[in-house]
Amino acid sequence: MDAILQILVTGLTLGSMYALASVGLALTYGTMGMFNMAHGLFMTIGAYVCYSAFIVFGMPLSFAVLIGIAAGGVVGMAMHLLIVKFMLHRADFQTTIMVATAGVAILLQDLILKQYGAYPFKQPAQIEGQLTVASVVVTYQSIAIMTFAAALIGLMAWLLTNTRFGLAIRATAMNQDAAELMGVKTEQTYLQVLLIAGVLAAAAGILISSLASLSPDMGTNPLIRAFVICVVAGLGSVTGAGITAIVLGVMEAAIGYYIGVRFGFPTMLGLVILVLIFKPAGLFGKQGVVRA
Amino acid sequence: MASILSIQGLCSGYRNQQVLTDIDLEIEEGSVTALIGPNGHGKSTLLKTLSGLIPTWKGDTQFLGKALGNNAPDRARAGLILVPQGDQLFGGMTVEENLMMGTFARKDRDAVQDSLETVFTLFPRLKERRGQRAESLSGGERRMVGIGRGMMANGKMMMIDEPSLGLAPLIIEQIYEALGHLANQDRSILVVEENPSRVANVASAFHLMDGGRIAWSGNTNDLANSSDLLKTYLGG
Amino acid sequence: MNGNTALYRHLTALVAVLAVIAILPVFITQRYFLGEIILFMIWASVATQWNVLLGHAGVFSLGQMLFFAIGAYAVGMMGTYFDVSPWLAMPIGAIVAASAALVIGLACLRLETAYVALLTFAIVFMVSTLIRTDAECFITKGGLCTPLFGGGNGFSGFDDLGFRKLLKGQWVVGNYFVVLGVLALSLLASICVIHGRLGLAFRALGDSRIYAAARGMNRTRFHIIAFVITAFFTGLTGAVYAAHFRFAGPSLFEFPTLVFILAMIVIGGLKSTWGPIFGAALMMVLVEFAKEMGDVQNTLIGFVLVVFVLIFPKGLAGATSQLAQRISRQRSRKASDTARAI
Repeated sequence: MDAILQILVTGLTLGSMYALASVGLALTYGTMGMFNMAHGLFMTIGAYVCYSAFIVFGMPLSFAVLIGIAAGGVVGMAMHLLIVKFMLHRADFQTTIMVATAGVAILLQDLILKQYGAYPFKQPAQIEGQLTVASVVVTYQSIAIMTFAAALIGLMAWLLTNTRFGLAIRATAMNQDAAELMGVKTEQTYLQVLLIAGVLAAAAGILISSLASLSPDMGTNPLIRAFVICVVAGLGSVTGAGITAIVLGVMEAAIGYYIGVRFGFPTMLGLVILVLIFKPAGLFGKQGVVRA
Repeated sequence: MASILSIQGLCSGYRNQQVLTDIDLEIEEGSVTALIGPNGHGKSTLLKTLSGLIPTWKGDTQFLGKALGNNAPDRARAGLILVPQGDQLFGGMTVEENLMMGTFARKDRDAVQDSLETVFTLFPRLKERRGQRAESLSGGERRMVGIGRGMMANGKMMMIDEPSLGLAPLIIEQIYEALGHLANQDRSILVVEENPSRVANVASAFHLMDGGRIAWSGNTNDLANSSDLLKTYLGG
Repeated sequence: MNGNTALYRHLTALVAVLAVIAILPVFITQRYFLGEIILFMIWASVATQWNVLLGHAGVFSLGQMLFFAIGAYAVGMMGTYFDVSPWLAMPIGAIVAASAALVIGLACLRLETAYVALLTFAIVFMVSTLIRTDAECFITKGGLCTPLFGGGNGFSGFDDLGFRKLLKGQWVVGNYFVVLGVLALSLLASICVIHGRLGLAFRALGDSRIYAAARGMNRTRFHIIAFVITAFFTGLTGAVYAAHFRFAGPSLFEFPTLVFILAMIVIGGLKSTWGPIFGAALMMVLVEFAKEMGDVQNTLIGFVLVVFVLIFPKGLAGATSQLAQRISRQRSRKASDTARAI
């Protein structure tokens, strides 16, 4: 019983970070059919900027976290303005944008490597202490992670459903032409989507680095998790990605506990491929919605 | 009467394929104009170009005496509203949300509720289905949502692309009855229709498109007197 | 008939290209440069195979380095554990790579483009993580623990192709011609696929998937065939890589390597036949240049890749034909101007 509870705590912590890492990716794909290979770098940048703001510039922690998150948003917008914007109307956008963002990914990763070195450091955003409830250990850090992730995802969900700009994003995702005919400036919408994706990814990066550590390739691991989560959920399904992330997080924790940490991800991937054999468009995806 | 939309020497097409050649057209304010002609001769392309969904290659388009913006959102915001072919609804939204999307660019938020009532009066069916997702609607209901959504924009001019396309005769009648109501309210409407007899009672000006050009123009009387000419084009 | 003439034209070009590379060692004798050309031939072969998949068949696979690594590991493992000569291990490695491609293809290629890309990417990542984190000793030689798949260090120091004994100081030239042989096979296969019946099927599927399907063409089947064929030659190239460097390890899976080869294809020109060769040559030069500038190679690769995707999406192949078109158009315009003037 205790083992199960412990797994649940670990799994939910993992899952909430995965959710934060995946929903931005799902949103980008859902609105503009763009698969962002540099999404992992948004995470890395968020984590490093937060670190620099705190350690190098000596800002208060909460402020440093905000700056880190903002940096993710800025990089997201910059990517739209410098690259994505010019490619949106190409016939083979879906594949070429993956190539272009892969280029951006190794470029940024190399720059971070040059700036900070390959040696991993500890993320200062730490909250010490833990809570023991009936022999289950819950660190304050994981409570903070879950709360922070839930708050950010909740905020995004609220923005998407209750604001005018959220409405524009949803309309564009469902039907770009129709949205334009309603007066939605889709160019701006895409910019906002990449801003949101960057913000969420940077936040995920800060949280992940607080558990693991900072290194130039720290984004790869969560990025692949996010890929798998989005694929299982059905590409573009934002709510689906959130739910799948939590489920897969708990699953990974359970497999890690019973079989070994090494096999957490491989087992997950095996299951994913099995799911896709029976549901090629993912659990929450619709065959028609996926752009061929 | 004053001209609301004035087109001169318009050329357009898809990618490298030119479809429209030197279109000159004047649309009068407060009336229904019909664009007729066989399929595949540029009627829908003209509406798409006017709405800004596909770019204008050459030519001048004046709307209410002013040049129009280049893209669809700007044109929609200027009050030039397209009800596109195939309805193009927001499948994941409810009927009411779809209708409200029509008001996206409107400034007069207070009058939105009145517009919704107007749409519901014209299409009582939509009031019954207001909470239903658009993707689960029948073809006729989808068309009603499409037209209703266009009305919700409260634009200066509405362009409707083939309102009868793919519908059962009974439903077509209902749709044209609704268009007749709109025509009586002195709204400016440009409607595309393959079959001129369907629009004959609703519209007051007619333009025949052939091979990407305007081949013939006239009013209701001209239409009645030119049945032979129309037969050659439409194979009636 | 038309297809056949194109096929013959490309085959003639192939003979010419191979002949040029074959006489290079007469003029270039420094081991360093020969080594660089060997590396170029290896990457050119991988890029060519990947271009067949990506540009022609329309399979957006990001898993090519897995097949490359399978070939390399086959040579490394058989050499380390059973002292099998690379000559025998190379074809076995290629066959294992093709078999792995068949299994992965059956599981993944039914899906849409983006799903294929992500899944193949995830599979490679999974395999590399499993190998890297494996700490269980399979054999212990001289106090050195080697996990079954070599762990984080991989395999090295196993038997080479035998030229060190045979040619002594000139052994690199021996390896050079073995690699050239593999490149020749790889290019020949790619030309036959692109300009043969399979290529025709790919073009039909590319033009209209629905129409091709209505004519009874099974897209997934063609995709799997392409996937397996290219995996075979990619695996063979990986095997010759291992035989030349006497190394096979998880560093082959690194993301920058993948992007490096992707850049060769994009810069050479997706959908072309010869683009990847030129792309590979250009990227090799670029990397040399970057090394001199102070190890900025990934920054440079990323930058060049983005620039090409943005400005020359059809790569060098497309850019040159664009340029040629523009020049001929200008010339004809000038001609007509002078005609009018007269």
